[in-house]
Amino acid sequence: MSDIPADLLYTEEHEYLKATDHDGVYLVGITDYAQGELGDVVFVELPELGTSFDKMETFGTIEAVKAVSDLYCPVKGEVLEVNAGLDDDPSLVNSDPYGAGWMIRLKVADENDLKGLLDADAYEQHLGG
Amino acid sequence: MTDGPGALHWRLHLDAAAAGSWNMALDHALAETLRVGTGVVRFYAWDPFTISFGRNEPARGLYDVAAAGREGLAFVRRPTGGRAVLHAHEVTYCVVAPVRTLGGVRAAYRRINEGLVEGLCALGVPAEVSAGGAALAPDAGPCFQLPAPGEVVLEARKLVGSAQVRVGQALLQHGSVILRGDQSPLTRLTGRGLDDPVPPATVEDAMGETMDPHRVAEALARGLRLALGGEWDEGSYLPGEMEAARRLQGERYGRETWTWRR
Repeated sequence: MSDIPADLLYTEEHEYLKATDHDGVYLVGITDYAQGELGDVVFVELPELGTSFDKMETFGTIEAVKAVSDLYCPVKGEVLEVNAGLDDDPSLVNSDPYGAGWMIRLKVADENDLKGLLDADAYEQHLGG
Repeated sequence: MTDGPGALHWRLHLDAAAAGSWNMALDHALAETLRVGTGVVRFYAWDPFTISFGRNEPARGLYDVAAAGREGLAFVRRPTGGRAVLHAHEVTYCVVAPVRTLGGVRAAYRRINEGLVEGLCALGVPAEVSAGGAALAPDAGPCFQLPAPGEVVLEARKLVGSAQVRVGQALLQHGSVILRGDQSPLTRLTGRGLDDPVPPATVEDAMGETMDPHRVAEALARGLRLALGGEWDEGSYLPGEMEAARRLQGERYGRETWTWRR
C-alpha cells in the first residue's frame, strides 16, 4: 500500500501540497504512489526561484531510469525555494517523498484554489483503493 | 481499472529514413495528439546518421561537433530519458499509447520489451529481458554501455536501447534495435567511456548474415502485436499529427538551443 498522509492535499497527477509554518506557503512534491510507480529517480529538473506557474502548468521534469514525466504545479503560485538536495541525491524522492524529497516551496496565489484539490480519502479513491 | 492494451485500436507505420529532428518531433507529436482508445506503433531509420541525447543528459561542450560533422553525423535531443545513442545501422521503434491502458510506465516497459523479444526470437535472435542492472543517471555515459533492469539483451549484452516519456495521459516509448556496427563514435567524439566498454549486441552478429531492416521491423511489429493485443491496421498520419510534428520540429527538435540545453 502507498503512504497517503491525511493532512496533505493531492492532484490526480500525483503531486502533493503540504502546509508549512508560513501562511500561504506549501511544499510540493510527488506522492509515495508516484515514486513507486516511476522507480529509481535519477534526475529532477526544477525551476528558477521566483518563477510563477498557473494551475497544472509544468514546473519541472522527473527522470526515473528511462522514463521522463512532467511535474505539474497543483495551484497557481510563485516558487520561493527549490530543494537543492535533489541535485546531489535525487533518490530522496524515493526514500522520503513527503520529507527530504520535497521539490519546490510554493507561495500560493489564492488559497481558494486549494478547494479544487483532493484530500487523502479522495486521492486514495483516485488510486482505486 | 484499465481495460488493457488489448482494448486499443493500434495503427502501424513502417516509415522511411528521416532527419533526427523530424523523427523526434513526430514521435512526440503522436503522444501529444493521441486519441482515446488508440495506440500508434511506428518503425523508422535515420538520415543522416544521428547522435541523440537523453532529455536531461549533459552534452554541451562534451562533443567534438566539427569532427562529428566531418563524419556526416548530426545531433538531436530526445523527448525521452536515458543516455546517448548513435543511430546508424538500426531499426528504431516507437510505441505510443494511453499510459493507464498499459498499466503505468514500468508495466509498459516490460510489456513492450516482451513484444520486442517475441519478434527477435521469431527472427532467430535469442534475445531476452535483462533481470538485473543498475539504475543509471543521465550522465552515466553512452546508452549501450550498460543494460538497465528490464532491457532487451543478448548474452548479457544490450541489444535494444529504449527510453520513455509521459506526455499528458500518453506514454511514448522508443528505442533502437542495432543491426550492425558499434557505438564507438560516442566515446571517440567525447573521450568519455568505460575503461573496458562492452559493445552492444547486434542482430546481424546473432544471425550471421546481413539483415533487411524492413524484415526486422515486420518481425518486431508482429511481436508487439502479440504482446499488446487489440486491433491493428496500417494507416496514414492524421493532419493534426503532422501539424504538431512540424510545430515541434520548428520550435524544439530542430533548434540548437534544445539540442545543447545541457
